[in-house]
Formats: sequence, C-alpha cells, structure tokens
Amino acid sequence: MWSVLYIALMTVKEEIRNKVFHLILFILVVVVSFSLYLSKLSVSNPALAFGGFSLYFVKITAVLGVLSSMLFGLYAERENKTYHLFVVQSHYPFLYIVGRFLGYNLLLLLTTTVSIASVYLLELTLFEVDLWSLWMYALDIGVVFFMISGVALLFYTIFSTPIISLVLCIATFFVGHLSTSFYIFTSHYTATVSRLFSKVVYFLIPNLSLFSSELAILHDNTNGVSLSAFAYGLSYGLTMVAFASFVFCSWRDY
Amino acid sequence: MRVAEILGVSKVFGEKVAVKDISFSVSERECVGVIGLNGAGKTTLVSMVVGLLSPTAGSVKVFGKSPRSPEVRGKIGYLPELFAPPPRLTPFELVRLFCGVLDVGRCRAEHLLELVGIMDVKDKLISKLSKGMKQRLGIALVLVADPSFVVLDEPFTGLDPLGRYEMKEMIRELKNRGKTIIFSSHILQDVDELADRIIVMDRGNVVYNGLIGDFVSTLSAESLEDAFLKSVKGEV
Repeated sequence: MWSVLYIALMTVKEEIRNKVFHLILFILVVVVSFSLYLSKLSVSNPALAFGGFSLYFVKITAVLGVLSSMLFGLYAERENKTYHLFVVQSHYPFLYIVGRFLGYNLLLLLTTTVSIASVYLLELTLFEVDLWSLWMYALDIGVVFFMISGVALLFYTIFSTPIISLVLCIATFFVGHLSTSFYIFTSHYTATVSRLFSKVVYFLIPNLSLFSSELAILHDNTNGVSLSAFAYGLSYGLTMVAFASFVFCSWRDY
Repeated sequence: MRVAEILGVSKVFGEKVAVKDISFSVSERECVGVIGLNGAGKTTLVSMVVGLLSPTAGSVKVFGKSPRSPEVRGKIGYLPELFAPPPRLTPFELVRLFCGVLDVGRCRAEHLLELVGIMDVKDKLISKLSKGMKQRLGIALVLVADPSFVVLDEPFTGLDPLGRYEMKEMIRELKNRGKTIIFSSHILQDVDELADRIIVMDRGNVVYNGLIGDFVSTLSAESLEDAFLKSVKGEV
C-alpha cells in the first residue's frame, strides 16, 4: 500500500516539473479568461454564465490535458524500460501502474482545485457573488477523471501505442457524456438483439452524463452530484483499475 | 547452491527465433559474463532470467522458483540496457522512491549514493546527469533491497573510459559483497577482467559455456578477443 502512495507522490512531483504541465496551466488561464469574455456577451446572469463556461472549459482542458500526460508518460517509460526496474524488483509489479494512476488523479485534483479557486476568487471580486457550489463540482471533475483514467489504464495494458489509447480515451470521454441520451434513444428499439446490444454498450461505456455540473451551475442548481452517482463513478474507476492490473500481471512479455 | 537454473529455454518472436534451446546454471557467488555479437540473444536471455520475458519453451528457475514469483522478485537486482531513469526527479528522490516501492524498512539512500559516488549530485535533476552518473544511479537502485542475485544488461554501453573503469570497480565491489552476478557485454576486455565464467552466444545458441582460460586454450587463441572472433567466424 505504501509503495502505491510513494509512486503516486513522485508522479505528482515529476509532473509538476514537466513543461507539459506548465502548458496545461497556461491553457487553463486562457480558457478562464475566455469564459469571462463569453459571460459578458451572455444574455443570462453573467456570474452564473462565467461559472458554467469556466467549469466546462476547466473540465475539458484539465481532464484531457492530464490524461494525455498520463498516457504519454506511461508509454515513454515502457519505451525507455524504466518500469523494468519496478517490474523485476517489486514483489507486486501491478502496484506500479496503480501508483501512477493514483498520482495522475492527485495531479488532476490539484489542477482542478487551483483552477476553481481562481474562478471562485474572480466571481467574488468581479461579480461579488459567493458561488460556493463551484467547490462541490471540483469533486465532480475528479470523479470524471477517475473513471476515464481507469479506462486509459486498461487501454495502456491492451494497446502498444499511446496514440491509439489516447484516441479511444477521448472518444470514450465524449461518448460517455451522451450516455443517458443514448439509453433513451435506444429504449425505442423493438428488436431484442438491438436492445440487448445497446444495453451492453450503455453499461460498458462510463456514464459521464451524470457529472455534467457545468449545466447545473448555469441553471443555478446547487444540488451537486448525488451520492449514488459518486459511488457509481468510484466503482466504475476501481473496476477498470482492477481489470488493468489483472491484464498487466498476465503479460507474457514486459 | 544453484541460484539460477535455465533448462532448454527457447524464445520466439513471431518468425524470429531469438534464443534456441539453452541450458545452464549459475552457482552462488559466481560472476558470469554473457558475450556475443549484436542480435545474438544476450538481452533476450537475461530478460528471461529476470522474468521480464516468458520463455516459449523450457523453464527458468531462480532460487528454485519462477523469477516472477513474489518471493523471488525481492532477491533480484536488475539494471536494463541503456537505463534511462525519470529525468525530472533527483537521484535522492529516486532512491527514496525505490526504498518505498521495494518496501525496504530502513532506507539507506545517502549511504547508497555515497557508495556509487554520486552523493555530490544527489539534489540535481537526473536530466542534468552524465550517462556514467545515470549508470551509477542504476547500480544504487539495484542495491536498494540488497539483492543476492544481480543481473546487469550491457552495463558498459555508452560509457567513456572513466565511466567504464568506475563501473568495473562497482561490479568488483558487488563480487566482494558476495553477490551472484550475470552481466552481458560486448566489451571482451572487461568481461575478461571480471567474469569467473563466460557464456558465448551466437545467433541464439550457446556456443561455449565455461572458464575463460579453457575457451582461449581450446581455440589456440592468444586472448579472449581472439578466441571469440575465431568462434563467431567459425574457425573451429
């Protein structure tokens, strides 16, 4: 257990020194500024519009940015054989990928917290609105990343190139947000096979539409993520990590 | 006592046969050098010994068990060829990380860095270190859990004469500490100086397994290099 924490903390340390991470932070500053500009153009409440737009852009930028860092980082270690030392010498080599997974999740939480703190302070100073519910949705973005990075870890153990894994992850991320609409659409199918197939797809793809907090903010809905959705997100992510660990341990050749 | 036992091992990658029906064993405290041309199968062989690759046929036993079993993993130290440690950590942080990962009770990070002679750069980013320093850091990582069996894949690759000298000194130090060692190398002079026994590989086969002196005298050669060249050119 301690080894997972060690790897996770070192992952955060390494990534904070990475220029790619600095670039992600810079993009976050740009998108938050852009949200401010969009909120001025909006006909609705500018404070809520700023919160909603920012949350949406922060989610896309942070999740996809850290996800790319994670996949390229993991594959680079595979390429230059650094992970061979862990695999050969560690009693339980799968802890290495679990540690990396946890590390990138901590990095995402850090990035999101910094971004949301900036948005919150801007709301307070520019609009004089205390939009405390923004903080609740930081967790929401964290759960989305937990699920999608679990999928990424599984793809890492299956595919040998980062590009394939990344493209599939981005596709899963966007399709996952349409999950509920897809379920409603396919419920009209009459053929048993089509209905069964659509149900299988629905349960396999992470249901990220449960975590579309940016819309809730826009409509001034501060209920936050439900406990059941939160539990679903954690269970889905953990299942993916368990599958990834199993596949990693079953590799014939490292 | 036999530390490693390789029995009828073969490895096939698609159509290519990398290693063909190899058998040998390594005894405790022995230092074995594996030599051969590029593509002879040295890296494939050492990768199977440490459990990174699974043999297509045959079996590899380390301390009587599969090298992938959790009990054995803690007893093996491995340095891969062209070792590239994480560039954005410092040597001290990386050794501490390994102490944590390998669940070493008392982390002797500073002692290990002192031992391999890179204490003065312990807080420098690894990306700023020379190739030789990175190799020395690799040896420090190998020693973190104080393994009794050490496998080094091409430890001299890319090192300048000073780096090579220091690496040889470190391998001698490992021998003095009673470690069982397997290392592969192209540099026959270094193998001659360090190995108790050699395994000569050619196109996936073991063409010789025994003492260096016997290899040289059997081929009526003047040196290990001369004998090796005769062996791979088929002048025997």
